[in-house]
Amino acid sequence: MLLRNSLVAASVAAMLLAGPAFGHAKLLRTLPAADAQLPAAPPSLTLTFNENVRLAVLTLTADGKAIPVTVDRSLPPAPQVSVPLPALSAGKYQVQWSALSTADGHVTKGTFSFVIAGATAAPPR
Amino acid sequence: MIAAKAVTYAATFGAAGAVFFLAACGSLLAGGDLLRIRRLVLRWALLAVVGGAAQILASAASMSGGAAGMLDGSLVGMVWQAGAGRTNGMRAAGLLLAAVTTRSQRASGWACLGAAAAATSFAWTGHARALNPDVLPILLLSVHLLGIAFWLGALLPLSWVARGGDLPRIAAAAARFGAAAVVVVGTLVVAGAALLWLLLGHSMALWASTYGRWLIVKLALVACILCLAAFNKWRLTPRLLAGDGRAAARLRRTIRLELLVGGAILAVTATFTTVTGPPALSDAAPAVRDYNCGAFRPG
Repeated sequence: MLLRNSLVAASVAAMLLAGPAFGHAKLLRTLPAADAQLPAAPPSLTLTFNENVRLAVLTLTADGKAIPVTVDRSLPPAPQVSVPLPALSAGKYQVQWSALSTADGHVTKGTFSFVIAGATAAPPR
Repeated sequence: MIAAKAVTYAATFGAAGAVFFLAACGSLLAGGDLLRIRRLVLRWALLAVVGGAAQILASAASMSGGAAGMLDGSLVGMVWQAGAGRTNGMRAAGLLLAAVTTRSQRASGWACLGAAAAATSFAWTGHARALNPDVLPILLLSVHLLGIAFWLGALLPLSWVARGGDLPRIAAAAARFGAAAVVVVGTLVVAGAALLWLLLGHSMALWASTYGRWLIVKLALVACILCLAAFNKWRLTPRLLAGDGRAAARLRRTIRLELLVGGAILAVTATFTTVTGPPALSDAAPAVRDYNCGAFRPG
């Protein structure tokens, strides 16, 4: 009985402690930078890590509306990953990403935002 | 993900340790215990494979931000290619070999080989492998894992043996296991300490980093389980050998406590190796800032 109760307690504790999984891969910088105020829309998003990763998911939203972006999951592992962006209008954009470290197999993820100023800031891709 | 990882640890070490226990003490056991332990190997092996698969699916779900990720073939494929395939494949093959060949009174060499492959499969992915160079960390972690499997995995079979009424048999099994455990546990502690040094990078990281603070919790639990093991070996086993029947009941209780603390150690390890990274890797390239999601936790 003691063992069973203990196992249940340990499982519950593990569930409570469970949160987002983070490995040791670190995002060194992004382009555009986090919280950047841009005069014009960027043609792409670039994330630079401290080690080889594979980008799994990248979502771009503005005012809660998802902007379609394409992530190529077949790319080989690299410390820098770029995602081409569609033509973006002025506004605040939220980026949510997740990547897999190929060194330790752990998931790393995060969010950041940037602002495009100006009325029409949508350069051709 | 953490729960799946903890279950996979427990089941793999349970299966491998039961095989090692049969190899060390099988000739001393009654037929009923032998059969029960062989069934235990099979059950733990199945649970380990299921746990490993759950871990892969949980990683895919974590990346996608929802359960739908488990059904996304390309995400699951990414996790598989990033090391999960290698480690899960090695573990499943090792456990299959161990389960199939654990038929005789004493576990065969093949069964021990399979158990060793399964127990050390965790070394082929994760933080030890991310260190550069990775040969020594992988070797140290493999030795550490084998020791854990031998020790923690033997506890449940040993508690079953201690449940029987044959005192000389219980005493002989406890004495033989205890004699082997002194060497195995000593080796696993030394290998663990050396690996710790490599992962921490410097001694202050034990106090100054999140990873180090989790390690302190683990080390406190390890100290508890070492005390329990020492009590079994140096206090209870001599009483068992002297024919003291009450020592058998006491042994069962302390083994239950050891199982409890061992489970806590695995849960803590599964947690901190998932939510934090070792300073030796983090310090190599400090993050420029801490973003919202906490992916770049300092320390």
